Amino acid sequence: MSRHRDVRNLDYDEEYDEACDDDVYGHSVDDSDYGVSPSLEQYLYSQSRDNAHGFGLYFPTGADIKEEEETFDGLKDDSEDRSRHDSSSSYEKPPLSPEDEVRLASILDELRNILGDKFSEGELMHTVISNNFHLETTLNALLNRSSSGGPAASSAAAANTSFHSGGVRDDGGGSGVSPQSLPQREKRVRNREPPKPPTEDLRQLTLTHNSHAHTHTHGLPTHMDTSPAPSAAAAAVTATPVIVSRGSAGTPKVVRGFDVVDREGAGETSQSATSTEPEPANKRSRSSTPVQPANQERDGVTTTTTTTTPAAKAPPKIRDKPVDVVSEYKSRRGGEQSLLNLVVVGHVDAGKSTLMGHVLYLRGNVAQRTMHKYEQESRKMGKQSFMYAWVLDDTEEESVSRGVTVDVAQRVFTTGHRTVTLLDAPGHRDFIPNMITGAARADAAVLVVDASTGEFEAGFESGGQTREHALLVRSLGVSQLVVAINKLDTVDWSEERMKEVRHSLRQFLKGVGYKDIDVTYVPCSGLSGENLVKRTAGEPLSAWYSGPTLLEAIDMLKVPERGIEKPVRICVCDVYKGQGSNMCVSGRLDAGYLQPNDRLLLMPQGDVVNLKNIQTDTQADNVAFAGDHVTLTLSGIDPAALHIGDFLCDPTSPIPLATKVQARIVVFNIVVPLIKGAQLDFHYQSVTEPATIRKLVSQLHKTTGQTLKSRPRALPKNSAGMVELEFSRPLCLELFRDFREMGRFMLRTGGTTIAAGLVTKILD
Amino acid sequence: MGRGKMVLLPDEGEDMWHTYNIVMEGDRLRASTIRKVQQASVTGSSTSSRVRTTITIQVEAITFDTGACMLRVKGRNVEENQYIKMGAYHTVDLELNRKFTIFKEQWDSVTIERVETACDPAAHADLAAVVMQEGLAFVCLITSAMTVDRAKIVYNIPKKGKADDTQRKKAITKYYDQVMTAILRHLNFDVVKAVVIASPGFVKDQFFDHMMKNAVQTDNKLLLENKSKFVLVHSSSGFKHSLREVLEDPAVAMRLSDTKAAGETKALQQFMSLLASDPDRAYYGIKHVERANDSQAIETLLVSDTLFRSKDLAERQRYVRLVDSVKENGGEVRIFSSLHVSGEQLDQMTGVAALLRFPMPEIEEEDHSLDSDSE
Repeated sequence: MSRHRDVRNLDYDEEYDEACDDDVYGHSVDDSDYGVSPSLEQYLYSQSRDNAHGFGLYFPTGADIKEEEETFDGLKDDSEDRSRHDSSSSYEKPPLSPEDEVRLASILDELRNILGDKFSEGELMHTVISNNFHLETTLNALLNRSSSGGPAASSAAAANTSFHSGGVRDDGGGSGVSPQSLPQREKRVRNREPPKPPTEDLRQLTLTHNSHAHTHTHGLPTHMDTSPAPSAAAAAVTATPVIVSRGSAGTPKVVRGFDVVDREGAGETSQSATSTEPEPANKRSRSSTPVQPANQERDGVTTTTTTTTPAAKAPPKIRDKPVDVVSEYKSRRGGEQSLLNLVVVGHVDAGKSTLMGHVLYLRGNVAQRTMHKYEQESRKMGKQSFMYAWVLDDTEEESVSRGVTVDVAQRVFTTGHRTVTLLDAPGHRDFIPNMITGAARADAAVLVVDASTGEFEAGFESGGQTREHALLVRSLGVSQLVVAINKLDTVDWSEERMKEVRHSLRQFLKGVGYKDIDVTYVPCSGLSGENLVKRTAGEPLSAWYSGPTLLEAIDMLKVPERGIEKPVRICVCDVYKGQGSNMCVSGRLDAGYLQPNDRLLLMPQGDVVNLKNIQTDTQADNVAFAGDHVTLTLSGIDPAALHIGDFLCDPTSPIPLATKVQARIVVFNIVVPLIKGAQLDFHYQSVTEPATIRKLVSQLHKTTGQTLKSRPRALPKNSAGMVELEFSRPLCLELFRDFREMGRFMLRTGGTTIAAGLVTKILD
Repeated sequence: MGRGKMVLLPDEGEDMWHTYNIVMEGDRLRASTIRKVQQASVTGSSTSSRVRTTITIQVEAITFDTGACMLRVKGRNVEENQYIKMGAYHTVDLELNRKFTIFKEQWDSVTIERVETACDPAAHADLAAVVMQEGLAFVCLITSAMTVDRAKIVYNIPKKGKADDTQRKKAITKYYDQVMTAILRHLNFDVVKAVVIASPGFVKDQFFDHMMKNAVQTDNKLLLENKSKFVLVHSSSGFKHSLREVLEDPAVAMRLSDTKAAGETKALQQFMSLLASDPDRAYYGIKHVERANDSQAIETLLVSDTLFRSKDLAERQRYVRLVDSVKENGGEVRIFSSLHVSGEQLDQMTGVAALLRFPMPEIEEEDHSLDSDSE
């Protein structure tokens, strides 16, 4: 973005013309946006930012023209003042015609400009009306009345003398513009630029600005100089409304139209002024605002790349009321509806898919007919035990040919107090990358273990995925766990077996870092359906077990805090073609909230996309909050530019990009120590990228975090350390301290998980 | 040792890589080349023509194009020539099957050994590898001294779990087709002895099925005849660095048998396991290794050939001395090709590593008092 720009040798004329053309032909009053690089962004006016300060609230969109003119002068103080005056003064305003009302308002404004707050609103109003809306006489009357003249009087006198031409306009246009205040006004105009109506986009903003300064600096002097000549005076009159209309309507196109008329009508005098003036005017305006150069640069360099400016949030966005979001969130996601993301993990063939498929069936989330179909088909294949798993493993390769879950399946069901987004992760060790993408999106986990003889041990001892999964899920920030001790029917619901399994798991889970109270153990059978949703009275299990069923256990899980008020972050987990030319992406909204028509920034490409549609679960929704799994329909994007692992984020606070990061890692039980230069797979959200350890910064104490050894030669197993990681391409990463949910990653190599870590610093 | 010249005849792409490792800046190179010559006639009109001539240049820059196996050597003319003035710059594209001569002020042991290995016709096994994971594939060619990327395929495949999975199926088919096209385009089955298809999960099997089905349908003789050359191997990911795992796989190692790539992979694996089991016997980084060498402790020295391409003569000599000294002490020296994945990995860890005969814990302790790391 920061292409070099030879400012000194710049041909301003050309630049200006170019800008004009661009404006006229390219974009006039439409509300498309232009994006901006993060570094530029801080210099740009952001509507939403200002709204946060309560600024925008003073700019009602449908405001009447005069009204707006007024607010220019005093901005919010003014209107505040007026309201105060209105309420405090005992003066009852006599009924006025709308025209008079307007006139009154403008004169009042002028008066206040000259006199300050010396007189009360009522007093002023009264005088104005009694003086028949004549500014000069009103002023005289007021000043005569005030005993102490001082500086106010002298300034008023000055205003008085220079007011003749103003008076003319006063009568004609009804807008009291005092020439004396013009220089000031010009300055104000500049300052005023930001709070434009939201339909304005940034480029227009600056262009208006440009022409603004332009007309001001030469248009008005022209008027002053040529006022003796009657024809030019007429032109001057047209020139003045230019300013007014621009200020109020804020449409540069309109302005330019006037401008042209002005030039043609006024003839050579103003024409020559126009041709000579623009350069310095441009220069001045350029130096006066930081916005200008930034934008000019864009105009010069990229006309086609449309990028967003924060100022240009589409108007339908109702984001000026941050309070609403939280209450809205509470009403929609609170209580009965609170949303929980649940990942199901466990050793391969522990029965994860069957268990959850059965739960879905029992909760009525699977149509009877579909279930019947699965039953028939699985019987035909002689794999009847797979019928529930097929609910989740619906691709051909998973169901028919392999009988193994390959990728994460996602379903939604409800418990008593929760809406649960279920993520059924694969158990096979080859698909742990897929499992990580699932677990990274989860708030809580169900760990399924196979209780049948020999199987539990196989899954639990080294080489089994039970340990690795539990560890991974914990490292990815999940602290609540439901352990489903599955297939207990194969051991005749033996309580002994249950205790045995629970004992060895408890030992292990404690070591991994789960708190005992956060872990619930539920005996069940995925195939028979016992103790999933309810217990059958006659079954042997009821004899010794009185704890919760699986569904109840899930229901008791706590919903974590969501970062609704943080800027939007979505990691793209899936990309596919929607209807028409739109693209659909799905993923978890990690932070913030979304509404249709929001503009989002696609990173690392830096493209701006338009959010057309939000789907949560399967229905369209008009709002989505952090924690939801959403499917978004995007427009204005090249399908080839979207990849799994990209991020969508708030254009005003884009996600940082990094090729080199510093991270705190915890090394697992590995064979080969971690050394400098190790090439690893870096798993972060749904991104998997090769990474290299550039430097071992230090070895840390595992629990206290003290530095044991700086620049160690290797990090042995079960140690902790600081390392520097480098990637082959820039990745979107969030620091752990900024986004707790998003700062975690895993390092793997050769099919084993080597380490888990937190991003602590972005180096490059 | 000492100054002298050598005439070499490259007869395959890999020889260019060897040449790249032999020619240094400052050497002189005599080779046949084509030069555009402009001649002004008496009338002042000029004609330009291309002439083949033999030129001797003082080497100033060498570039190697891994994809095309081309070596470009730039330098100034140092020998009077009919067409080219003394001191004029010329860039020679070395060509296959044309002799060239290298003049060196100093032929060191490493270079000479390099020439010998390059001339050794025995160890030749061209192997092709396709590393895949859903939506990603690399097609590489592994020769004894190089691993060359031929194609990288990235394809977006929608995930499962949608009502109609036609999009997913279509995407998968397209992805497989692309990989297949890449294989057909980039691999020469006359040369390649085996094609390894590696992936986690079932991707490799599905792809192989797809490819063979396709070959039968389209009656692609090339694929059908070479079906036996395909080897399916498990790898943990579809990234290029998982090639290392592939080469470690016994099924592949058998086919590669004595080739350099397999040997390097094995040696690196040994180093890694030693680092795990007995860290005091495995060191990396030039300082540590040199200290170990001072005690004549090095059993096997692993060193990457990038270090010998160093422009800094003193540094180059430092490594040459190390190699010579290890050999003198009866140690084994393995010079890794930086184009192989194992060599790449070695490069990442400073480019030099050593397996010691006996543990030397003092090296690390010493290092800690000094707190110096070889960067």
